[in-house]
Order: sequence, then structure tokens, then C-alpha cells
Amino acid sequence: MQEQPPPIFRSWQQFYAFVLIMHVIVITLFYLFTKLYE
Amino acid sequence: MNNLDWLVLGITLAYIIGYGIWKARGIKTTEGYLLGKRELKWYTIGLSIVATQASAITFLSTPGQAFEEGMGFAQFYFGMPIAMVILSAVFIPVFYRMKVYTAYEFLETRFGLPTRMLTAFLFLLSRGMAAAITVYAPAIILSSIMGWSLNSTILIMGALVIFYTFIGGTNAVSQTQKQQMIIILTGMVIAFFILIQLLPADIGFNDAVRVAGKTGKLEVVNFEFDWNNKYNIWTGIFGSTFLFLSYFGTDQSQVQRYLSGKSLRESRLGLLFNGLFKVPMQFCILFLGAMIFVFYQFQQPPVFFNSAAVNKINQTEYADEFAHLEIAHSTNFQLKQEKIRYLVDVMKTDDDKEIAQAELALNQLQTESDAIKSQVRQLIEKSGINVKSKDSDYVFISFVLNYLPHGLIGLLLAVIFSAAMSTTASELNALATATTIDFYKRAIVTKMDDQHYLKASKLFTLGWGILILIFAASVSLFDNLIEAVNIVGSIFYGTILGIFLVAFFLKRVGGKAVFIAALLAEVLVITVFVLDKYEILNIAYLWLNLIGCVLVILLASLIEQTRPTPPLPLEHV
Repeated sequence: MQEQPPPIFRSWQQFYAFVLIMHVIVITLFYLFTKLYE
Repeated sequence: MNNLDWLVLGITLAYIIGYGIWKARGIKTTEGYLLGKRELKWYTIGLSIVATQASAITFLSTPGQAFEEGMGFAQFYFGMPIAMVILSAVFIPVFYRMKVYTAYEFLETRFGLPTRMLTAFLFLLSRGMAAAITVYAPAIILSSIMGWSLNSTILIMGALVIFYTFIGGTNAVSQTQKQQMIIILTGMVIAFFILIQLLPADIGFNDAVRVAGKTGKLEVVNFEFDWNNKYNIWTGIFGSTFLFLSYFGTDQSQVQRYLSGKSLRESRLGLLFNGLFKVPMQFCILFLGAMIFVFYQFQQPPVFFNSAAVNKINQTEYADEFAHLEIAHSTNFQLKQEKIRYLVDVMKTDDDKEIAQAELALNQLQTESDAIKSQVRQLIEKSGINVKSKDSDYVFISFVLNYLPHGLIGLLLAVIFSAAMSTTASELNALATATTIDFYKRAIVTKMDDQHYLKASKLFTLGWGILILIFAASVSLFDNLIEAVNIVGSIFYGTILGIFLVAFFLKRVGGKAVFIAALLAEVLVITVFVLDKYEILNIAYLWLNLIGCVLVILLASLIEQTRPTPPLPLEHV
């Protein structure tokens, strides 16, 4: 099937959740960066 | 610029264009020309999407923005991954199922021809003007600081883009963008490492980052909400999600990038790659700007980065006044450097009280420095020199020209050219596609063979290219035209997104209701904009998208409820 989600993900929904969790982690790192050097 | 720089610039651009044309050879159908035979893989789509959005101004202005105001601009992109997930889940599957060439084509099946024509026309209007600015904005900065002729810079940049977009169509655009992104990222990484090397021997990387933090340049995340401040986390997440939904979901210059994917899967992965890649990329470009700020705490910066304007003012009666300000700036720099070195020393002791005192003294000197710069700006305005562009736009290019070794200057100019060309190529390609598919083939000459439309697509590419160049060359004749183009974009974007969201989510709303709702919403958005202009309201541009979008959805629902006739059939949507 061409429309399978990326490897290790069981569904596209799971992959979307992964993308959004990664984004939250990135924002958290930015926040820590801001606090660390303020 | 010496011969080595010209050689690097020439070879880089020739390689990119040659590669694109070679990869796009053998195109014999309209679909091949406009959608690249739909065979692109996710990484090409992803880089192509990033390259389309990142124009030369991204690389010229963004470091300057961090230099002046700090890194808060990164928050502007926080809505990106959210928008990419919504597009992947909702928009792309429908576009794929219907095998459309343009986003507006989908609207006809849902709402009828008038809505399709209206949105396609608004796209041609706003994107056609924006494409001219994409060429003009870097050309004015480069021509000013390099001493080139403005029109020659516009012509060379534009002619190269028209050349490969005309010959190779969408495939040439996407393939060149992949190479352009590699050049851009390589150039920026090299510039960053050289910058760190250029810091004084006794200032380590960690010291430099701490100095940037103490001078307020590293505030990436700001939780304070303010309607009129576009750089806080709330505006970033809510406002920019709607902006990016509009831009990536309804602007043909982006839609065309992922419609040329090999499958729905490749397109989704390309968009999601963009969602995850773009935020860290902007962070890095802004961080480069913050480090340039630190570099200029140890190396005396010019009082005004636009050297062409400085040369001009020295020819006027204001030259003496300017010289006084330069001396004040120099004295301020010497004092500031002492305080900075003191701050670096006390930071190593971890004595909070001493650090706070050093920080306070430094900030007072920085305020003085800003006041001197402000006086310089006023003096330049008073002398009648029209600088056309913010001085912070010259910070990065001025650093490159003065501190990078020869050869790398050529490479960094290739970065600026590549970024301008990659965006313009997508815009040109999309303008030709919407003209051919949404107007020419749909309503003007409807029953010809494929070869006829292939030829028409090529001619529209050439026609739009020439139009963009003429418009770019005439931008400098009008004051505030750049602002006008940005306003046109933000006034129409929200309404167009509203139409698309109604199409996807409110299946019972028909064509007439949405058309009337869109016109009413547009009038209201323009009213809000005018009230803001006359300072009766105070609202950042970014929110206009959200207001327009919500108004279309609400009004369309209300109008549909008051209409007795059933909506259009939806089985095929």
C-alpha cells in the first residue's frame, strides 16, 4: 500500500501525535533556553 | 567581491540551474509540466516547501531582527507543525482523491464556478504582486551595498528564474529547490562557524551566549499576551496556525509543491517534515543574528550598516553632524566594551549582585547606543536620503562582506540569490498554473488538445515572468508599496481559508451562501483594518486572518440556515 504510515507507526494518527509531541518538546527546550540565559 | 567570489557565485548558480533543467528534461504533457509527472519523493517535496517559503529576505532580515530585537520572532512559527498536521489529515486527501491541479479547482465541485474564479483571481492578484516584492526586496539591499544597478540586479535574478521555470516547469522548480536548500544551509552553517572563530580569543562560546542572554537577545519564548504584539507564544500558536493553514493550504505556490508528490504518503511526509524542520531552522538563523550582536560588542560596528546611505550623507551639508554622532558612537562602544568584559569576568564568579550591577550599567550604555542610532536615522531622513529598507536588513550582509574570506563571500551571495530564486520560481510556476487551469482552460479556450495547453502554460509562465520583472522594477517608484502588498495578503488570506474550511467541514452549506458570506466577511475585515489604521482599534495584522476565517464560517452557516433551497450535491467530495 502506498499510503501506509511511516515505519514503526501503526496509523497516521499516531504519527501526527508524534509530530505534535516533538513540537511540544522543541518549545519546552526553547523555554528552558530562554530561562537559562535570561 | 573579487574574482574568486564571482567565480563561486557563477559556478554555484550555473550548477543549480543546469541540474534543474537536466532533471526536468523530456516533459511532453501539460500534467508533466505543471505537476512534474507526480513523481516526487517526500524529501524533495519537503525541501521544496521550505525553499518556497524562505525567500532572500528570510536570510537577510531575520539575523538583523535578532540583532535588533532578540529571538522572539521564532514564536511566529510555532503554529507551523499544527497547521501541517491539519493539512495532512484534512486538505491533502481531498486534493488527491479529486486529482486537482489547483486548490481552487476543488472549490468548483463544492461551491460552483463563481467561488473558484473569485479565489483564483484573489490568488493571482496578491501572489502576482508579492512575487515582484520577492525579487525587489533583496535586489534593493544587494544593489545598495554592492554598488550594483538596481534594475540590472532585478533583471539578472528574474531572467535566471524565468529561464529554468519556462523550460522545465514544476519539476525544474522542485529539483533546483533541493539544490538551493543544500547551498543555503551549507552557507549559513559556514557563516556561523566563522563568526564564532572571529570572537576574541578570551571569549568562549559559552561566554558569548551568556552575554547575548544578559543583553536580552535570547528571549525565545514570551508568555505575556498582547493583541498588538505579534511575538508571544499565544499569537504564535493561534494566530500563525491560521496564517500557515491559509498559506500552505490555499496558496497555489505551496499547494503545487505537494500536489506533485508521488503519492498521498509522500506529500504528507513532505509537509510534516516542513513542520518539524522550519521552527529549529528559524531558531538557528535568529541565533546567528544574536551572535552577530555579541561579535559587534567586541568589534566596533558602523553606526549605520547601510554603507551606501553613509556615503551619501557624507556628501551633504549634514556631514559634520553625522561625524559628531560617529564620534559619540565610538566613545559609547569603548565604554560598552569595558562593561562587557567586566560582565564576562563577574559571570565567572557567580556573584549575583555583581552580575546584576554589571548588567544594569551595560543596559544603560546600550540605551545610549540605541539613542545615537535613532539620531543617525533621523539625520539621514532629514537629509532627504531615501533608504528604502530597515537598517537591520543590512546587518548580516554587511558582516558577510566585511569579515568573511573571499570565496565564501561569493558562496553567501549565492545563498541570497538561491533563496530569492527558489521562492520566485514557485510563485511564477503557480501563477502560470492557476491562469492556465482556472481561467484559460476552464472558461476561455475549453476544447483543445493537451499540446495546446502545454504551450499555453509555457507562454503564461513567460508572460507572468515579464510582468513580475516590470512590476519589481517599478516598485521603487512608489512609496510604501511593500507594505501595501503585505496588507493585501493579510486582508484576503483569512477569507479564502474560511471558504476552504466551510468546504471541508460544513457539508450542508452551499455555493451561494459561502459566496455572500465571503464578500460580507471581506467588507468587515477591511473595516477592522481601516479602524486599526486610524488607531480606533489596535490589533496586529496576524489576527486579521483569524477574524476573516471565523467570519466566513459563521456568516455562511447563518445564511444557509435562512435559505430554503438545498445545497449542491456532495457525493463526490
